[in-house]
Order: sequence, then C-alpha cells, then structure tokens
Amino acid sequence: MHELEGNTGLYLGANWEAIKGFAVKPMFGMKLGGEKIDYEFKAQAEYKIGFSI
Amino acid sequence: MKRVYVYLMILTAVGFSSAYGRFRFDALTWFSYGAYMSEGDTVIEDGVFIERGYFTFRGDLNEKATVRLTLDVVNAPDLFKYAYFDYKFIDAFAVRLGMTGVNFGHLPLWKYPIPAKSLVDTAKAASSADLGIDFYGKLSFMSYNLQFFNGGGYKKWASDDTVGLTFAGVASSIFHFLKSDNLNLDLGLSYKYTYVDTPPTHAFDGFIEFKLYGFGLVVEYLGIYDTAKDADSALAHYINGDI
Repeated sequence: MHELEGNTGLYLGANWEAIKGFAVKPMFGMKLGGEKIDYEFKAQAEYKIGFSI
Repeated sequence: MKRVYVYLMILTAVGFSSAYGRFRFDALTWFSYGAYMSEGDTVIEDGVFIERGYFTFRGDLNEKATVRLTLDVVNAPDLFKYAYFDYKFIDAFAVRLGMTGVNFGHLPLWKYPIPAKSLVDTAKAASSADLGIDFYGKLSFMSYNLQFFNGGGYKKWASDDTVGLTFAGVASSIFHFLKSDNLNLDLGLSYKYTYVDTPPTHAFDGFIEFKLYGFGLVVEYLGIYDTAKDADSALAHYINGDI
C-alpha cells in the first residue's frame, strides 16, 4: 500500500518572483532507493492575485 | 443529503460575512512543465499542464470569528478544498470546524517554495484537507494542533458509504528554536492514527527546517506503521533559494 521502503529523495529548487504576484520556480529532483534512480525536472509559473472589499 | 447540508451551511456563512464583515478574495494558479526520467533512459514522460487553481473567499465576522471557502477548480467536481468556520478564543487556543487543513508533517508549512510535492503528499500519508474539527494554538516558542477527521480526505469526504466507518486523528507540534526576520530553525513532530481501511495505520513524521535569509533546507522523515506488516519509512531533503 505505501511502497516507501528505502525511498529517499533530494530536491533542489529556486523561487524567483519576477514581478509582484508572478513567480518562476525551476526544480531538479532525484529519487533513490529503487532499482533505478529517477530524475525529475520541473519548472512552474505561479500567478497570485488578491483584493478586499 | 449531507453534501447539500454542508453546502448550504458554507454558502450561508460566506454570504453573511460578505454582507456584514470584511470580505477578501484571492486566486492562485500554477502552470507547470515537467519531465521525468529514469537512470539510463531518455525522457519517459513530459508535458505542460495546469497543476492547481484555487479561488479563496475569506470573511471576518468579527475580531475572533472568520470563515473561509477555497475552491479547487482544477479538481472539480470535488470543489471544496477548505470550507471552515474559525473561532479564536485566545492566541493559545482556537477551534476550526469544517473542511480544514490536516496538520501532519511538513505539509502545512510547505507553502510550495519549489514545485516538488511534500513527502507526506508523495507517500499519501495524509490528505492535505479533511472534514472534521481542529483545536490549535500558538505560543511564543511552539504551535500545536489536535485534530479529529472523517478520514476520507477532501476528495471523498461526502461519500455516504464512508460516514461512521472512517476516522483519523492527528496530533502535531512545531517548536521554534530560532525565530527572527532572517533566521529560523523549527522542529516538527506529528503523529496520525487512521482507521479508514482495516487494519488501522499509525504514522509518524519528524522534520527540521532551517532558513537563513532567502535560503531554506528541510530534512524530513516519515514512517508508516501498518499493524499487518513491517514498518515502511521514507526520507527526503529539500533545498531551495528565493531569488
């Protein structure tokens, strides 16, 4: 059910808020412990807005 | 019927707060590109996708009482991510009722500084939100949560066949050893008991989070103890920098 045994991950990332409310987040990750090492690359654009009335 | 009742309760609370209190709205969307590879292989999966999209309405009924409704528009029709009523008696003791966050492991502090899922999320050790009651508080050196949930998570919380058969209890504390504008050192300890499927499971999580100016380091351990088999465990390290 859980499949966690020997499951170790290392993640490195940056978080760059280019303009207020808009951020860019590249990341590199490694998952160890299985028969092979899994690599993951991900880049994310985050957009936030907010207001009060 | 339960779903309709809760919908009406939530919409009434949000309507009341918007009419008589301060009303806030915010939206959050993530657009992602991801590529996944295994050792010795080329890219086995990649793509561009909208990972999450949240619309949040908050209303202050008075200085102590607030309501919140967060819609998870990407996971519709399971729209409700958070829908709760919160009453703060004092800083050290408050009660939250409804669909609220599950404070297990580093997940509630995660705030997604990098696009990785937290360890608790990856291992499906706890849902990020569930229907229940949360007793919580903050002191100068620590915060705590004592929570009792339906146990179905926020995507299955209203399913009638799980009512009365599921339960999850969470106890967690975060200790603040160093706390200043540019330097933080926190230790988090969490325990969760789950009775959704038989046999029941116990889960323990411990993490250390260190932040210095824009850089952060998290080391987290998660163990899930199933009464029918040996314990499983996982460990993850997260390093990120804010630019």
